[in-house]
Amino acid sequence: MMPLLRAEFLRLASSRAFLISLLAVAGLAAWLAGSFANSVRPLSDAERSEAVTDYNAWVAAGSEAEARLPTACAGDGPCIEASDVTGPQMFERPTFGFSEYVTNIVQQGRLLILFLALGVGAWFVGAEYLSGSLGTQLTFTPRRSRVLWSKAVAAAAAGFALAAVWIASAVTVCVLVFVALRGSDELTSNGSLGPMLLRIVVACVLAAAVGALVTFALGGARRAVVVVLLLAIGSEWLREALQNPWELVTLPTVHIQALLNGEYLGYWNPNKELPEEYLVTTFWPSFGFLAALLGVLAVVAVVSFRRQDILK
Amino acid sequence: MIRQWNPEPAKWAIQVRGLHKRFRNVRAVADLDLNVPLGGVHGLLGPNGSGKTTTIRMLLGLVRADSGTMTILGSDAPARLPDVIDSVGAIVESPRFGPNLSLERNLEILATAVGAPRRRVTEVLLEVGLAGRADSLFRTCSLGMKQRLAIAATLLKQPQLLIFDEPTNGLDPAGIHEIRETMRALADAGRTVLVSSHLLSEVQLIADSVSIIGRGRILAEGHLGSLLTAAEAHVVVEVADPVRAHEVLRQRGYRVEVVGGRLDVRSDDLDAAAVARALGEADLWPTHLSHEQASLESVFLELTRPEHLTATQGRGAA
Repeated sequence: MMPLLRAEFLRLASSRAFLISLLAVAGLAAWLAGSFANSVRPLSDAERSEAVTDYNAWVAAGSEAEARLPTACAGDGPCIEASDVTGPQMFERPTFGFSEYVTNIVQQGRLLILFLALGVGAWFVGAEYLSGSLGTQLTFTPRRSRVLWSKAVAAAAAGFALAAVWIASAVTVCVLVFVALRGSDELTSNGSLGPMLLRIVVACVLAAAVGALVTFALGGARRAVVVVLLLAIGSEWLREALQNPWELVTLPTVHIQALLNGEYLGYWNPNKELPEEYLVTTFWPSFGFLAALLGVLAVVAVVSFRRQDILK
Repeated sequence: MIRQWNPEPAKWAIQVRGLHKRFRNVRAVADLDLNVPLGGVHGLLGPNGSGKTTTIRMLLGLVRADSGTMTILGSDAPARLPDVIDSVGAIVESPRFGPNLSLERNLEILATAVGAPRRRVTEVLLEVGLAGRADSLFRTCSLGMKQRLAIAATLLKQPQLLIFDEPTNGLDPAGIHEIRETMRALADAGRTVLVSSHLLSEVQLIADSVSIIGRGRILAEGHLGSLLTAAEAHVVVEVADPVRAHEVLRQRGYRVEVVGGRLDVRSDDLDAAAVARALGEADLWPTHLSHEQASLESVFLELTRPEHLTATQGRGAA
């Protein structure tokens, strides 16, 4: 098994397509961090005086009593609560701390990275079906289960590498931008940043392994990607349609979101009143669900691959 | 089926019994028995679509047989194939490698997978004359280079049995000659080479024994010399009045066919001079008379004629 695994890692490291995707991921992270640099830039005197002017005008117009305070949010990231903001600050551009900045950047692209990891896993196996090099390899190592496991592990490692490069690039550029704009004194991380980054890594590893195993099960990358995307779309449609928590916990995309966010909150109005927010699942149950799903998929892939006629 | 093993080989590198394979409604291999003696070059011959590649794929575990038994180097295939795979090198159809990897890296990956030392890659590249092109991407290589790379790959394991499926497909005459020499050299070094081909003249030049396959079943197998000796020689005659000549020779006990205005004359004890004398005595003077020895091509063409295949199939069915 170990020689096979070494061979697969060598194949992965030799792949230009994989190296290009790593570079693209690093570039995207750097670009996003640069694009959002303004969110950590300290307010200038001109911006402060403009906010004061706007606030005074707003007070003069008599709108203060009925006004809703603006809430500054960034995507799925942290929000500056309305209750925190009073006076002219209401009209100031929100400025993020380091953790919020990194979280914002990493979360902006996490779904893209997740799909990329899925695609890389599928491509890693599918390219060999396509070129016929899988058949050549099987004439050297006919134990198909071992070939499957070694490729699935290498694909998972590719998912790990994608997530790691994504996070490392984002954090590195964020640190550089933040230090350049705000200095190193405020360069501190809150407790939620590390777990959030780890959750993205775990999700990408699972996605890449799923991509590889579905490709083995179906005997081709294109079919695998189409089937996985259709399942994901179906699961998302059901997620929107269903409200009962016992129905929602059967949906893979609910667990993927819990894996990424640490929890999944649903909204339910069983008595036709205002919907109530409730906790559907958290990280570990969802991790267990997805790991079990991966196990079932692995068994299906092994059985299918062992029965396949390799004709190319 | 014609079997001409004289003498019977002491050991077989490959033995196949009652092999069947269908792809949906297409019968690819039907009740195939195959024997490949240990040592030397064995040709697996058959027209396109006769089941050669499917048989090789089944031997290598790439395609699952519907029924039948196979042994390679004494081990049951595909169940015990992993036990002997280090002694088997194979190229099935055209060489398939990572298209965007260099020749060297493709071999490195395979060498790593089978635990062969890194230096073996350099050795086999040298052996097949690709040392200077080691860094070339596989997809940029000519077919000849790809075939040589495939041969290099089979040599990574230092195998006892080499299986080459149509190794000269798409090669120029120099490339064909090169591959032929390589195969002969491998056999002379004590290895067994099974080569499937439809290039009969090529196989006749290097093979020690052959199996001829048609419509998924073996039609003949044995030592090449024995098969050719067993095949009937014939006399080809051109004469001004072929109809009368046909009648004269038939009356003398010859089996005669008119093929394209020529007479194809056969008998159990054929003598070209006797044929000429018989015609002369009837005042028929040949403008051409030649004694044709059986070649692999003539044996092959005779055995793979549709009428012959239909007849053997009928016997098989009965």
